[in-house]
Amino acid sequence: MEIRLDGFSFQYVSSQPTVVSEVSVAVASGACCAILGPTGAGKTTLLLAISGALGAQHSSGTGRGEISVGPHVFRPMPDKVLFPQVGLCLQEPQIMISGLRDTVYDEIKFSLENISVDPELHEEQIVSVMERLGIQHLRDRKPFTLSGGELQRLTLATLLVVQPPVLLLDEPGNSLDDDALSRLVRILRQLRGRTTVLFSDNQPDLAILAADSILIMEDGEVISFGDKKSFLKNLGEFKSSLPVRKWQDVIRVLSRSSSLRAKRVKKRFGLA
Amino acid sequence: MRFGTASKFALSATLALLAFFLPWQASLVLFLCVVILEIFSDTYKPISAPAHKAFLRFLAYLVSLGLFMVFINGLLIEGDDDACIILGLSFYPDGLAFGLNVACRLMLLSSAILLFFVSTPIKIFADLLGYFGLPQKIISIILLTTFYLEQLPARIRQIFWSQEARGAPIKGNFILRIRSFFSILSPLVLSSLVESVNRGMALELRGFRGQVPPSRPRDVRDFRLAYLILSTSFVLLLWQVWK
Amino acid sequence: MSISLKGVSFSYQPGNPILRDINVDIQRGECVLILGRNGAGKSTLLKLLNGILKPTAGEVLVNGRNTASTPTSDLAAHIAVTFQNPGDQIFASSVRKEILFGPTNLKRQNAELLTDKALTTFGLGSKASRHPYDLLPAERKLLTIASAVATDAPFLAFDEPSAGLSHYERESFTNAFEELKTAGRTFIVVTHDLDFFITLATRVYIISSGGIGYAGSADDVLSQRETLRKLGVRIPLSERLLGMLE
Ligand SMILES: Nc1ncnc2c1ncn2[C@@H]1O[C@H](COP(=O)(O)OP(=O)(O)OP(=O)(O)O)[C@@H](O)[C@H]1O
Ligand SMILES: [Mg+2]
Repeated sequence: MEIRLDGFSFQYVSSQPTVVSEVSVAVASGACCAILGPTGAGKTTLLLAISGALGAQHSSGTGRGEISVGPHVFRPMPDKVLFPQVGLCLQEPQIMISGLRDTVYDEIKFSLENISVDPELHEEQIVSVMERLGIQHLRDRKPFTLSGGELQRLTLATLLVVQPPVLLLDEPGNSLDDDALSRLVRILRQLRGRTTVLFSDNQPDLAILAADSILIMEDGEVISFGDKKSFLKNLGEFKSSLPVRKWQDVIRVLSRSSSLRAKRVKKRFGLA
Repeated sequence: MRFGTASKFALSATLALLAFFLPWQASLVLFLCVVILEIFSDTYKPISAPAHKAFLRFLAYLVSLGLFMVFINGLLIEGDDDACIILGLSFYPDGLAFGLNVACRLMLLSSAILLFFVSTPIKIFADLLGYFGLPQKIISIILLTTFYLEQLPARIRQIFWSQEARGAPIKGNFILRIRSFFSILSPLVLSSLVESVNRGMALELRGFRGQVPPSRPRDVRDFRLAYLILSTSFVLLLWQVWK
Repeated sequence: MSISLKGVSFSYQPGNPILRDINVDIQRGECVLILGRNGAGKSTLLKLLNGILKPTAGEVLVNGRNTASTPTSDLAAHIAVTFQNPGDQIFASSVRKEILFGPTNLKRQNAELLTDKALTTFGLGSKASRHPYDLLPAERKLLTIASAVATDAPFLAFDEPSAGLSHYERESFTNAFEELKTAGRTFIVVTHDLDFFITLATRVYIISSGGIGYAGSADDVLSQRETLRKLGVRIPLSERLLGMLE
């Protein structure tokens, strides 16, 4: 499903400044787009708006423009949650735990129960999601006693298991270790072509590994929107809002080097 | 043999019902049965060690309350018979009988109800309510409320930890504990509110619209047994009233 | 002035130890990083340091005080610990009150001053009277750190202080860190963000299978790529590429 925003703006309270202003972007069906920017850039608000949670919760806020999700056009935004067409994983994982189920397995199953498929038929699906995120050993644990990273993996699992055509992730890389992060990258790559993914982050690594296009926001405005290649070429422009110094070094080394390795890296990131 | 949730519920309900029309001797015996069931039976095994502890503490409270009632009634309610003197206090037999009657019934009634809840996780109870036809919306409210109640002690403990970790000598100091409890009360309520709004949104984001699907399928045999128990006790009750 | 863990073991449930026979010594002025996989026991280790959790075997000594027999509130004058999830520790009704709580309870002479300083250091000055729930997640994280710093405890232990912080906050965080370090404060930082903390750190411990899988100086650790990979430590992609290309 394609996601398209047309001149979308939003302010929570009319007396306060807009948190998202005049955002126009389109993410093709099955593509993966990263939203990067510092705290307060409006990343979370944007994701909430697309998911429908913003329209459902903040009827007092004012929005302008339009958001389309697949064939459906919403002006200015959906006013109810679009689950299971759209799945959003909130930034703070402990909030995503329902509290209505006692084990990690049942917590994941809970998402399926809500879309009224026969959850018993989906054991395989649940087990496979747990394996892909490396939490199968936590199957019978109480969700609230998990460590920070384990909890983050669980919340990703509760969404991935329903396979929504549009997946929105708010800073999914927080508190993940090396293994979990590579699992996440692998999953995002596998979803390419089938699921439209938007995820936010405040540093560029995950975006460079897994995204097709990169949207950079600051103070609610779009600073830049383009493919990964142009992002990597113009890194210098973003150094005030993103930690890109190390990446600038990488690009510098890459441009000077003509070794086989360098060529492979360039090809991998579309810089060839 | 292990009873299912429904028949277990029926059994507890019957015990509680019996408290209304059995003589005190029988109530006392059944009360002891409840205690034995809680400790030894598989069906009424408490869900956790703290639940068991709480149950025993409640029993101790019930028994002392019962004794107190017998004592007070024996002292105060005069009857036709002469008082007997025990330890220099005069007790009236009718008062004692009345006290025993009320106390034993109360003990049976409350322990029978508690017996069910001590041995049934709230989610299983919610399933049961669903099978009996209670609207899902109400069940979800019950579940979410108990969830917050369950979380509350943990949250309070966390705040106490956090205060202790910043120099407030809370442990072992009863007065201070009470005082800081009051000082965290309003932030606690507020944070619970904020969290419940957020969690409500998160639940919606996972497609939850207030319907709680049962966590396990309904056990038909268990239900037949439950209806049998309930109707038997109902018949008994009618017979008793009619007599 | 030191923290030492002597043969410390810990389990949440009997028979399932999370940490086994940990021996660590931390001297004043150090900045110690604690790394390891998800679920390795890093947060558990931090909670052992100020007595919120007590070791099931061995002992933890903070400036010579055994955490098993010293109340946490007494240890608070020596060590301040933040939790991984800010929501677990914030309780006051305003940002300022939250920070002021520690120094007031510890009867610091200059409690107000310490609070104001912490507010400005972590860029929360303009939000002092706000309710903590009005803050963004990253600001709440900073608030917990500011509250710890304001207690004036010589040892500061942070659980993933940089998670969710963006470029801006990281910069002011680095500055604050350097300043506090010069002032003689000691840091114990649990993190997955090696990239950010390695330049500030003096020593690194990696927890693995319940024990210390690696201990070494911060200068060498980045060259131990194979070890880091084996122990599941996240090396930033840019760093990895640079290493590969050079
Ligand atoms: N209350 C608890 N009861 C049982 N097990 C627990 C409890 N708290 C934590 N654990 C388990 O102990 C292990 C260590 O947890 P801890 O929070 O210390 O991990 P961590 O190293 O901080 O991980 P992360 O990087 O994910 O934050 C984990 O496997 C966790 O699931
Ligand atoms: Mg942790």
